[in-house]
Amino acid sequence: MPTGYAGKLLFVDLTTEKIQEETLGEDLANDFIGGYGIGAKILYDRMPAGADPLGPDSYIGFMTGLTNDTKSLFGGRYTLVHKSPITGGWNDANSGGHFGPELKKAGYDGLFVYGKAKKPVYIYIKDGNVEICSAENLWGKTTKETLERLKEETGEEKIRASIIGKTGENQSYLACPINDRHRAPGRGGGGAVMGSKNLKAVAVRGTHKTDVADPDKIRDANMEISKNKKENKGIQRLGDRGTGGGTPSASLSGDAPVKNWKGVGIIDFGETSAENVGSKNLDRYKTEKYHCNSCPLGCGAEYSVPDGRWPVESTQRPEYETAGAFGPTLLCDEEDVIIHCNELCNIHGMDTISAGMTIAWAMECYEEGLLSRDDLDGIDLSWGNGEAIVQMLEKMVKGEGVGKTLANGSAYAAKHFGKGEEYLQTASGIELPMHDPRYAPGLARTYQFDPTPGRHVKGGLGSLHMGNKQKGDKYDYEDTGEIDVKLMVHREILNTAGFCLFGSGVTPRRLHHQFIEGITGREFNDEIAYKTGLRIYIQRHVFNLREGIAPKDMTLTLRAVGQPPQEAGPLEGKTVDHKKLGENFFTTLGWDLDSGKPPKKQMENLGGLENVIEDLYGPS
Amino acid sequence: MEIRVKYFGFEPVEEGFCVTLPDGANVEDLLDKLKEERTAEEKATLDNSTIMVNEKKSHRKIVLEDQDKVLILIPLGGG
Repeated sequence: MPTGYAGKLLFVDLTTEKIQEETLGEDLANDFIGGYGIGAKILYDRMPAGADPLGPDSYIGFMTGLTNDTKSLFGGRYTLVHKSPITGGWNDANSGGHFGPELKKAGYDGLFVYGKAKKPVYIYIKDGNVEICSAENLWGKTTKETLERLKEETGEEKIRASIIGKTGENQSYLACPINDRHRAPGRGGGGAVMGSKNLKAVAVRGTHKTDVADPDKIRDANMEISKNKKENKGIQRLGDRGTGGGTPSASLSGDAPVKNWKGVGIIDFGETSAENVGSKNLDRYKTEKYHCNSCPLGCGAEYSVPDGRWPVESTQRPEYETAGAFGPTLLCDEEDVIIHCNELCNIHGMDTISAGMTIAWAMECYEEGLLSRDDLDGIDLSWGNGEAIVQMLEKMVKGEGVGKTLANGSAYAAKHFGKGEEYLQTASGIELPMHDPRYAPGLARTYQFDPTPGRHVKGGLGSLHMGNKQKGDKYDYEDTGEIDVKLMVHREILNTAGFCLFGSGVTPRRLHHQFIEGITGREFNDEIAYKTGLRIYIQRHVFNLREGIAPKDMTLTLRAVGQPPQEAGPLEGKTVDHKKLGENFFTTLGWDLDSGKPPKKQMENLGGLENVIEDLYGPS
Repeated sequence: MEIRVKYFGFEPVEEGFCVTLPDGANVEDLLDKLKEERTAEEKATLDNSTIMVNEKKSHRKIVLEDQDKVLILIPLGGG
């Protein structure tokens, strides 16, 4: 068994109710680390090509990160892996909270579920004992209600669970599971996949402790991070205000999209509105801080809203992405709307980014006369109309009326209505997140061509541009490939190891590698990291190739790259050469742009991709 | 001359204040003044910020005028 792991993968066939454990092999662990690395390898090997993502042949994996339950700071994230009903390709989405570490403590590095239960069920894992339990009494309940019922049923107050709400039960494409009441692997439709399997929840409780190879190495890394944190006011600010502390600034700088990506923050939204949607204003409802597992920062917060339009005793602080999607993107500056929309998405299990962006699309269609008030069930979906935003979101999360269509996302809705395609802001069909490539041009490559398209958490040059930390002009598109690939590869390591990206400001790459060495006891230098990161990227990429999706098939809507450019504001005149960024990236990798096939020699040198080589190039 | 300054995402958050600069000073001079008694990390953050002067994006060499309003928008860098 590889050191630093639970050492087992769990497979549950909901059709036959067969439960099977497999030993986690040394090679699988070394080659793919954890999270979506191991997840991509397993799904590529075992899930039939062309499987309907919402059919019984599809797999969904709940994957721990390597750092989970190892006392590594910022190492608390788990990843959901599956084929996306939105893009039709590979999907991974990760989440903080405590679910991942608890799954590992319960004895498993990952859980894969396939088949379909005859009736609603949940999977209960306690210290290596696995049961498929009836969830008929839980079906229809919110994620928060379900968590409390699961605690009662199992008698385990400390249970952790990944749970779908009504949205997932409806198999709406924007559905996601929620863990710890407000943490979510939000993007790509994992909640719909769970719903299609009649899987209400995965509940876990574990008391094992994961053995690591060199606790001193981990402790030393933690001490260095703690020291860095004390000296870094930026990271302290993040701990104090959360990501939402940056919403006002991003709303005005051009980082956050405004008015379905056609607006200009300083003109269309304004200073006061920008301030209204920031944490400084929202935090008037804050009752206490919230920390994910192994997090020294605590960027989350518990809220209580005692009165007003939508009083709620216990809710949580909206993240930047959520405040952006329901704030400037919709020209809404009403903080209670943002808090309530966040709560609706959390209790019913819906991706806040895609939800807000889909409403933005509908608002523009309404403004342009493509969708009438009748089309929208009588709702006046005018820009900034907070009551209307809430009414529409309520329909979406519950799958009622026009909300049933919109709950499958904007690309689905445009096809359904047969109009409005020109107002989509998507990458390969999934709504773009709240960082604008016109502000951070490197994101254009990441959004369009990453095997999991449309994600701000994937690696590349865009991560430098978001912080304005690039050398030279960020709108210069020459020779971007090398740095883009280097940053992509490092991000593959962070994500699969289960690190939170918010720790990166105080955790240099050297320490990330030190953690991996301390946990596993094996050398993890820059060369090994590069080969491992690229191998994982290829494994995700070839999943898409097998589904018939090559880079040339991956799309990015043009408003996001300044075609046409904005005529005013901080992004005035900016056009992003997304094609050049893509060419630079794939040329640096040495990949054939047309077929998207990585060279055989490259994969042979990387190792661990033997079956991929055979699939792409035939038997040797 | 007096310049009105407001930070977004930086302390003091979203509270305006005034800075006195000699006539002919530019945005870079303002930033240099604001960097006094700031840590190296904070100075770098200010250097990476988007600057708006009277609601228009500004580069560092723009000469300021009395009562100009300067917004300093700190990059979020993710989230």
